[in-house]
Amino acid sequence: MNKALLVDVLESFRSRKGRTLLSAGLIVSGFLLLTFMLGIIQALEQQSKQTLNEFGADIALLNVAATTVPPYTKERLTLEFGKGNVSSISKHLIFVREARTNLSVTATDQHLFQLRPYVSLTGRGLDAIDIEQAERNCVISKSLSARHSLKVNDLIHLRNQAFTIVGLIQAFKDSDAQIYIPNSCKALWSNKQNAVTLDPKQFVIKSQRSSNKEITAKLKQQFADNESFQKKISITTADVLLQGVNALSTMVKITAGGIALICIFYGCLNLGTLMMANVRERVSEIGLRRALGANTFEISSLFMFEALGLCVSSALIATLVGNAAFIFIPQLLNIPMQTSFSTLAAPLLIALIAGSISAYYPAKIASAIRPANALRL
Amino acid sequence: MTKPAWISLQHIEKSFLDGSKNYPVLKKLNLTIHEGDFLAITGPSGSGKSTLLNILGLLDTPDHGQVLFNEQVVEYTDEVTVLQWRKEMAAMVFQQFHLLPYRSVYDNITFGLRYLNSRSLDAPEVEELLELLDLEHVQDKAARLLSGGEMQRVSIARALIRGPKLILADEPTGNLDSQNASEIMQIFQLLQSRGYSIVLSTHNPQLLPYCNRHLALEDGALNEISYA
Repeated sequence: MNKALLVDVLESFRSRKGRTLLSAGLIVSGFLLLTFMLGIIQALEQQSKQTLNEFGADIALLNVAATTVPPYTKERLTLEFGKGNVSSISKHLIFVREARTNLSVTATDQHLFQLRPYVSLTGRGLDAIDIEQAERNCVISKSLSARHSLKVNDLIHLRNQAFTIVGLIQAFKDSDAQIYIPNSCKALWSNKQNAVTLDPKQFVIKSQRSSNKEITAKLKQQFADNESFQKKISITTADVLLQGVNALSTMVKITAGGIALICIFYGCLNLGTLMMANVRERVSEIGLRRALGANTFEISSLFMFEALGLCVSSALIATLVGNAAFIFIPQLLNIPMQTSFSTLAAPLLIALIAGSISAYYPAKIASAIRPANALRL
Repeated sequence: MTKPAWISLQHIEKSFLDGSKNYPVLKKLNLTIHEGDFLAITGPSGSGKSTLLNILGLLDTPDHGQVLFNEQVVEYTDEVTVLQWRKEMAAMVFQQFHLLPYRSVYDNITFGLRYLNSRSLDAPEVEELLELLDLEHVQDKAARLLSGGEMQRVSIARALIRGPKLILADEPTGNLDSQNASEIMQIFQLLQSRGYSIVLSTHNPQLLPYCNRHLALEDGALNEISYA
């Protein structure tokens, strides 16, 4: 853009301040909405990726809805998926004296710490000896440790039963306070008169087969002889989780994309109307420019650059304001938003395209104005 | 001895369509302009004076006939030729001035230079023109704040800055009082003395003494009334 064209564009904005500001305001609000939508999509996608990473691509969860679990369940699963590839879990809400509240306690075996992507921070996980000898050892999550100043070798009391903390881990969903104990320990904390070993309600399985359909078929086959139990199991795998996440992401994308499209369409319409009004108002100026030697390209360029200048500068303001708002909106409103290349570049790119489309027709009209007719007005 | 023709209009015809009816304005019109002519074209409103000036300035195309410059036919269909003519050959001065109201006098005068590749926007001739047309004191003023006479002087300066050979003035005093009209005509006389050729359309007979030729446009054709 040469200096004279830049001056012309700025002068046009200056001489039509009210109209320009009104249009810029509408375009800014549209692109602000678009930036927010992109920020939300970006944050959701990021969260989805994180969830999948934490879940593990080759992990399947066998959930049991039955009250009692056949005693051969784990053996059969181990036979099918290999030693060390199956871990059993049962979860309980137990009063923890140190926390003075009920907390989630997971009774499990030593394999869980190899199967789930836990990060060991201090100490160790539960090992085979803990399980075999039903040691009163436990592993706690980092958040619980931080909240109650608990460290390795401290005691933690589940009701009246003392457990020694042997390790700290960064757990999946670490905002939750988690305690892991050997599943071989008698449930002495329960209200039952006789302490019993707890039936597992979930099995974590590591499988090379990634398809939920394949794993489900295999598991159903394993329990074909126990129809009532077979009916009470469900399987969660990464691909099912991914489908769920993708469905949510697609829904957000369609909704956000639809809103963004409406905004852009509205912005284009507004800009096109503004440019048409400008052309009609400036017919004699166009005639004068043509009389002074401007060619049709120079006339259309003038209106194209005006529209693009307004659209892109509005989009730039919206992008900067929007991305700056990502810092505090998630904290204030608890809505996930994240800055990315797309939240910065997409509004500007769309502004360029939308500005060009909406200015094309007015610019064409302007360049087709015959100077003799224009100067007669 | 007869001066050689500089610009010639031969058998020019132009009509305007209003609905389904065709209104002929110029009918096989002929005109010869010599270098240094100060030519007044008179005629009632709607007689085609502005149309004739637009055709001379290559702002409009005739339905039939041709324009010759130094005996060479000017091609209306050749955009390069047309733009070259508009940029360097002929400059228009309008009754309605057509100034850019929010821009300064200086900016209005230099406005057309952006379309001349060889010229800078800060042409040294501007100072000279401001002095010649007595606009120095208002050069930074927005055009909308000027008087009618000042506006027309700015319009003339805008035409002159590009160094044209032919000035086409369409009712240049139509919006001015008699004193301002007289001042503008004196400027045109001065320009003629400096070698410019001027074609002026008017229906004010008081302007005719300033011109060396007077032609009346009647019923689509020109009649030479006087030639001094």
